[in-house]
Amino acid sequence: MRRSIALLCFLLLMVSGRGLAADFSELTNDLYIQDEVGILSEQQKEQLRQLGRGLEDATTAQIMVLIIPTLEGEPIESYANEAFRHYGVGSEEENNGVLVVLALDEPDNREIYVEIGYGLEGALPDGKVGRILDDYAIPYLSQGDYSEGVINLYEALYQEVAAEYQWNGEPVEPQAAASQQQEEGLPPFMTILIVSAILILITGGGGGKGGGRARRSRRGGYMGPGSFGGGFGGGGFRGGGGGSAGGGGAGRGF
Amino acid sequence: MKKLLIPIIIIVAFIAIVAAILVPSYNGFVQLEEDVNQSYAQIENQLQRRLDLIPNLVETVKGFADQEQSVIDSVTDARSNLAGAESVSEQAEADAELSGALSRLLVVVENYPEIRSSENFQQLSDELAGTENRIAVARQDYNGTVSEFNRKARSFPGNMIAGIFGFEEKEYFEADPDASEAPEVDFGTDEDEQ
Repeated sequence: MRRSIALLCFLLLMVSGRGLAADFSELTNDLYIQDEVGILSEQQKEQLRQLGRGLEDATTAQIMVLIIPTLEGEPIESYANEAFRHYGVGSEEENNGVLVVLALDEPDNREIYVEIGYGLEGALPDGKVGRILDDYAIPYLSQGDYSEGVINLYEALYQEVAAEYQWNGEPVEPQAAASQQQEEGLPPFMTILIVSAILILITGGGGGKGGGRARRSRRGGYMGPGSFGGGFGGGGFRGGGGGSAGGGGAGRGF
Repeated sequence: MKKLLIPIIIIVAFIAIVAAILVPSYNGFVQLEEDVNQSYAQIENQLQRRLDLIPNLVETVKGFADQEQSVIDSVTDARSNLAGAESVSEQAEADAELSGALSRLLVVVENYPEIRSSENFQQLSDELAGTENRIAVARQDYNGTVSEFNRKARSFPGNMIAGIFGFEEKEYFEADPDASEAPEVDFGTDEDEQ
């Protein structure tokens, strides 16, 4: 009996790992932030994980960041698509995942790609993703400030996905790069965001259904509702929900 | 009467065995063919999206660099070739040709900082790049299902069932490696014109 269970597990592993060109690491914590290079501090990671958990609890959408030292020559677009399908970012029903791949190959070949799950292509069309990258990530990344770039990008994407679900979420303030943005003033959604953040502060956080949910998620810790667990050998971390993507998104070299 | 019984049992058993092989295999073919069609529809969606994006891109580039007529023409020609392509292989060829023409256009655009910095162009090229990437993914998915279908259609007993019910091998979506080379564009004169 025990042997047949072991065999079954092995077969399942075979099936799930089939047809993948690249090897993907096992999750080392909740899916949202996988930093294989170590550019984020533990505190920064936890801050982003908290956003990720809150978003997933409220909307089932997942935003994942994968930071890798090298692509080993594979085009980042195809790596991102394989990784997206491997981890299954977003829920299986809605395919509402977003995957950010940051690859830090030698100085002249650093790239970032944001892959959007099928279900969020409407909220985040390629052109918009490109602009988000240009405004929130590239200005920092090109200065070598990776952690700031990743955090800002994560918050900007978080905002877009939360808005798609008409969920208030936790107020975040991604910083658009000063250089180009200042001439045009604040983009409208930033203004709305800041105003609503102030409103939430004034009304004591009771505004909207989002507040309560976000608080609940903070108490929930690992393995909250909607968690699919690590499956094989992930020590109880939140894994992907089985979402898929078809290559939509945008990327930049820097 | 008893003499008849044995052959009847044999025949019935034979039919049962044949049906046991036939039915699941036939259903498997139907399922796979549906998968192939579905994944092909994905490619076609993205090809259509690409066709829709190109006129905008061409207009934007023309606004800044009207003198780059030959490169612009090669893109519009390749676009109409793709729009007119029918079979899978024709579409794959035309798509590769269009990719080649587009990448040449983007090389030319490198010389026009005012185009590159235009928000409109930036957005269009992101959309186009995303679409190209979607085509790549859709092609991979499609070719994967085609390969599964064809493997089944060629191995025993699938080949017999495919023969009886007329399931034909599917075409891969792949282009000649040199389809992306469009010989009519002369880079030499292009450079001189600038």
